[in-house]
Amino acid sequence: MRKINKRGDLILPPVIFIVLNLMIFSILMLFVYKASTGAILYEEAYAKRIGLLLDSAESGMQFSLDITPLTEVTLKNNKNLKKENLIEHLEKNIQIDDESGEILIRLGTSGGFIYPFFSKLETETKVIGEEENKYLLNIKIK
Amino acid sequence: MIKLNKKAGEKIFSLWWFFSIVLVSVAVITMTLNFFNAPIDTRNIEVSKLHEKIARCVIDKGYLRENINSEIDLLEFCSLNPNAINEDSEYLINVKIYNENQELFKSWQYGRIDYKQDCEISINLEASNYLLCINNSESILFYNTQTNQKEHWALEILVATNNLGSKGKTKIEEETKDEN
Repeated sequence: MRKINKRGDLILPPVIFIVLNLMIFSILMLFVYKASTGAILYEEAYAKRIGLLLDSAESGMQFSLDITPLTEVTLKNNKNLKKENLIEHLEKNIQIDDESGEILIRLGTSGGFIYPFFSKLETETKVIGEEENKYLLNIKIK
Repeated sequence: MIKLNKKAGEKIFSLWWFFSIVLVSVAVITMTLNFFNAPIDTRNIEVSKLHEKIARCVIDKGYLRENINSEIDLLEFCSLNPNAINEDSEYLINVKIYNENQELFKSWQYGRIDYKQDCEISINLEASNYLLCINNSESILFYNTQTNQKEHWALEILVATNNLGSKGKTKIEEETKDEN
């Protein structure tokens, strides 16, 4: 019995050390992954992309923007959201306000990112679910 | 003695291990937050688009557009949103047209007037978080209908932006919140 205890004493500390190390580095990696696929990054990137598109747009133009990554982040951040309500939810949370010249993208439950654009335009936006997992944002300039 | 050394060694080792883990974790978290929360800077594209839009609207094939003569609102004429370009916004537009005798023919100014001074400072400054300006002066042609002759005029366009966007609520959402 004593021998077993001694062996245990020898083996246990390095095992605990390795397990703890693995745990800590896994948590760190998970944090980095979560931060890289977070809503803030996508909200800002897409708001600015749409803003710059609108700033160089002229009446009569029509754009189709692939917003599939946004749908994935939206589903991840809104646990209660069902896939059949996704288009409606996206149309409500991707807003182009022609009057004030602002774009709002909200992928989480609150907040969102606002990006002003300087062009005076009349826009019409629509989210289209193309294939099973592909979504497009159609912007029509009147 | 050996026993004492071993225990002391283990203690130092675990302390060092704890210290380095904390250090690495703090470094990784700080770098990640700094990297992913850093604003995506599109101001250089935006400022050149704004400049181009105004230049295209004022000039047509090298000539000053005829209807510029009248008392026009440049924002409306160039399809720019007056609600987006005002004193509270992050834009400045300053356009001046000089005639052949270097006299000021017409000038327009919209947006943040204080940016004008900042633009003068920014010429001699290299700061990534400072506003971005384009100050361009070019020669344009003007067809004088009274003399039936081409004249060489000058167009000066100063545009500036510090538009990085923001997290929060839109103007409409804020207004509806205030009303409630």
